[in-house]
Amino acid sequence: MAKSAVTIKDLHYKYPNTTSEALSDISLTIKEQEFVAIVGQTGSGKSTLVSLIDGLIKPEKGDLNVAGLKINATTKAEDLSKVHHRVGFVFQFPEQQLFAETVEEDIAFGPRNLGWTAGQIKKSVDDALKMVGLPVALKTHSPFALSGGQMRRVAIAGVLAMKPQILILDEPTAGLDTQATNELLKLIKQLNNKATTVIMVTHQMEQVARYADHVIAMSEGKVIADTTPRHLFSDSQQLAKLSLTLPISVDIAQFLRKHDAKLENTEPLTLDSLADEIVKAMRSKENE
Amino acid sequence: MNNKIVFGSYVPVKSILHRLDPRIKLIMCIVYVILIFFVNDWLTALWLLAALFLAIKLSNVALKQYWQGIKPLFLIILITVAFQILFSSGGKMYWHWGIMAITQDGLINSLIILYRFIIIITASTVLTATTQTFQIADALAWLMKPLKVVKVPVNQITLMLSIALRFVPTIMDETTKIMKAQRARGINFNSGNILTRIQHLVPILIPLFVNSFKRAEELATAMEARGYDPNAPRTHYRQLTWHTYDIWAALGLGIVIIGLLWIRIIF
Repeated sequence: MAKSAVTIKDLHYKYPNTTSEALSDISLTIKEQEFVAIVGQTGSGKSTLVSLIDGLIKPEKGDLNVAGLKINATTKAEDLSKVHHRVGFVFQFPEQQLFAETVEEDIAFGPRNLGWTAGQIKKSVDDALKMVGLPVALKTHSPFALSGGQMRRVAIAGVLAMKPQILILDEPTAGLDTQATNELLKLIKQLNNKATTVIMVTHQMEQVARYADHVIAMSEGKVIADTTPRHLFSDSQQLAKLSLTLPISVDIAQFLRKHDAKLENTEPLTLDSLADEIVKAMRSKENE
Repeated sequence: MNNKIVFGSYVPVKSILHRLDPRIKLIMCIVYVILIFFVNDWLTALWLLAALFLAIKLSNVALKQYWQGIKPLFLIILITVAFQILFSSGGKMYWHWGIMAITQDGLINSLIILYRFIIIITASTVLTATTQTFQIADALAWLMKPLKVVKVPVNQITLMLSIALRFVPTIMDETTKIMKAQRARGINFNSGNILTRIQHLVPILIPLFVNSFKRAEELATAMEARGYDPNAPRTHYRQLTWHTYDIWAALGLGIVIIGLLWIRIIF
């Protein structure tokens, strides 16, 4: 059994000057090296939850344990900022936070804030650039002269340079074209394979089906489902309640089943596995 | 950041002042600020203060909320007053050191400045607390109409103004977002000396500027795509109409003016 990277117990959070709770009574565990997808409609509390995990806001009630650091309502601000040594957060449209004169300086911003030595910083910048697939020659360019896709990669490199154990991404593929989306997801999966715990907020069910081992569905500040993608997609009633759509492969499989196709697995998570299921079903029909 | 009431923000409650036409409110505020400069003794000061208290009472916004709005500006007021006390001369001298001196005239002048500052800021806060920004922009547009005769581009000025006001909340939200993102990258805004704190502003201000310029360009393109012509005559979705209570408000203003003149002449 893998160790847990994040444990949350009876967590409550309310934004100042509001009456209703943004998060109420959240308890969940995220294991090390897991690829977790957080889904739910706008305003369901996804972003609040990940902000709490990154220590950007303090819980009102309840306890968090993030990569060994305990956080609760009485945690001091300086202890809260220690979380950033272990957790990286890629915000939505991260290219909007670029500010430095050169790509190198921008990527070095995080490591420098963490107080690393010059040698460590230089190495981490080079590593991060390599990870996101940008040429090292780009280091001396201005981040504002790059293309949109490249800017996003620089911004993500800025987070990866901090070598986080847990990587949070808030809709990392929003506004990217198909190719850039696939490349970015592949990169995230690679990092996940190299022992990084990934927590990704997303609206794309195909991404959940394809990459996540664990999915957390939220609605109105509560966790509605905390399960595997396969299990979530098998419960069409709950999906309808959450106003989530099925990934296309599951959708087709369920349509086929409704029309008496005998599929063994009714929740194929990728189009490839759907194709396999169809082939299997056709073969067994031939044998009859 | 924090959700405290900021200086100049609208307070969405119901009151007589909220219901008034923004044009009469703007005129009242301007006239009132002019009147403040006619104050020359205790009685006139008290008379205008009473008028302000009446307006606060009618605005249905607690005095405490006004105080919270003004508090951030208080330091600037105090510094100005301190300068006034120390560096003006005339009348009896109580204390001096180098070029600094505390004199009778200095004390009186600083008292007047303190009074004017607080009253003017509070009065304009009453206006902004009871009037939404787009209403103020509409009222200003109406007030500037006569300037069209002398070829002042009133339409363009009001458009600029309403766009600027419209984007204040957007930029505030964006500031919060960028600060959060940079905090996630390990920056600590609450530590270090003044110099490092100023340096910490760079990663917030530059993205903010870059994004604002981008947004402005997009907005301009979108407006042009929809056929915006700066010189075409404009119509308004929100029409301003005068009501009877606006006349009462104007009468109230008249009473304040006459009262002030009367006090100045009699006493």
